[in-house]
Amino acid sequence: MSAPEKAGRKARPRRTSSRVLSTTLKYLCSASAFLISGILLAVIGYFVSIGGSAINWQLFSELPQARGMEGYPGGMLNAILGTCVLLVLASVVGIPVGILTGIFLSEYGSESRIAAPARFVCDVLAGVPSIVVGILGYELLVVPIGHYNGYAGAFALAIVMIPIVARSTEEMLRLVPNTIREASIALGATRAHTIMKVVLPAATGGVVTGVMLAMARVASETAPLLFTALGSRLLTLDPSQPLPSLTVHIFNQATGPYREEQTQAWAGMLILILLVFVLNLAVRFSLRKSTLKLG
Amino acid sequence: MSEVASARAAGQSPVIRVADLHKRHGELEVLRGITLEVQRGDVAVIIGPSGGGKSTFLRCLNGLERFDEGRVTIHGTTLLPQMERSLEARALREVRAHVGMVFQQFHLFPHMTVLENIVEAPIHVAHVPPEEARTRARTLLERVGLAAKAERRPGVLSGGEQQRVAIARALAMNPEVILFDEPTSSLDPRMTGEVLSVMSDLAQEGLTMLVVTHAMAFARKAAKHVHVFHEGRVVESGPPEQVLEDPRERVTREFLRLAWG
Repeated sequence: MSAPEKAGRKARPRRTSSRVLSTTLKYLCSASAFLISGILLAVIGYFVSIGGSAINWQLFSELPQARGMEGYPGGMLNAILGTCVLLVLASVVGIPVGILTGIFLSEYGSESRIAAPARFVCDVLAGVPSIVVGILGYELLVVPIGHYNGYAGAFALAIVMIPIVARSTEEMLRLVPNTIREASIALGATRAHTIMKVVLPAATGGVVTGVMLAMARVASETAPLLFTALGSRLLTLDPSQPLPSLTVHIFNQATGPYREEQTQAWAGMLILILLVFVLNLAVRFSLRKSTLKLG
Repeated sequence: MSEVASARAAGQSPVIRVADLHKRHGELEVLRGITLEVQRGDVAVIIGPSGGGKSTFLRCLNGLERFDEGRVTIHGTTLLPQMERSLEARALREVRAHVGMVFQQFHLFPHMTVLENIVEAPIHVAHVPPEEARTRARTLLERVGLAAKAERRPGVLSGGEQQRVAIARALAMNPEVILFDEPTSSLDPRMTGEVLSVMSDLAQEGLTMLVVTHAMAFARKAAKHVHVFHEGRVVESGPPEQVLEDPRERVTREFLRLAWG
């Protein structure tokens, strides 16, 4: 038997085992992807089956009513609008600070001594239980003002948002090839111009996805709002007063003793999920043409 | 009298003047005292084996890499290894305003259209009015034969087309000199021909060019001077007919034997 034939015979078992390994890995990955999609569909299906019947126009157009009042249990218009106000206020602070932090970590981090500690703080902050952030908001903005208010709620949500936006922005900017930066610099652009006009736009899709994830996360936060915005049964958009929110409303309804309120809580959860879902789809759709395909 | 001396005597001043350039990566000395001049309107070609410091040399010229010793003077602006930060920034701005660069892998902005790639720097760096920049960009695209692709994204263009867009992008800033870093190395022969044809036209129009390339036919046809880099040094320089046809150095003969096949 010639040497190549011997080598071929020896190599065959290895080829077979690597093919088995490759196939196994492929099916494991596919199964995981199906599993996670299945979990999402199961959660949505469960919410639809329980809360779907409670979804009606009244839910979006009316205020909550106490038991015994006409129109009980009413709607959650105030909670939906309150959540929008809190999200906008938190985003006004959280998104720019988060994106600027991400830019610093990605673009200036290699030449700054504070980048590594800043990255570490971001990671720690992202892992801090949100109730702790709520207590911080309570101490900083509720106690001095003297009553619960929307600003404190938005502040707490912004604190939750910043590390998520910062780290996702950093990761997305790092994916932009360095060659693009060099090309811009070679054309005479300043570093700031290169970042703002070339690098950031090239990573827009990923950065916005990070922002959406952060918004979805804070939209579903309850604990920090219990210590800060508190909630209200009134229709108010004034952040200097206690502000209603979907999550706190859901919490109150779900922990209430009556079946109508509990069903409405399920409907509220469904609305929350659909809000995040629609927001994600809308942003992805609007960005699909202007985004660099990374990776 | 040497060629440089004759040029000086004729009142010509070099656009690029490099004196005793050294560049180190840790222990490794990539450039070991490069001295070289490029006169206005000349095409200088740098050849040599891989790892000889050719690309690093070009990157040092427009400040993409810092060097450790020596002096680079481009269009009257001098870059030194140790410069005060604000002076260095000003010098680099000056240099980059006069020097265009074309890279091996094109480095186009993938999220912009071809036209946007070309007008980006003129509008935002040179502050040319947008309409004027777009008109000039369309003219340049016609010049490189890509007028019909103005609204396409770089990702859908062939390598040769992308490189021609990169050349148009460099030209859009009206540079005194363009540095080409192996512009055809990642292209197939047909695309290489397209790009070299554009470069030959530019050479004939009198654009000053410093080209790192393995395209010997281009070097023989378009270059006024050929410099051979080996292990961070210029081992041989001269007109193409001398360096390419009758090389003096063994390294050059060996390289050319491999390059010509």
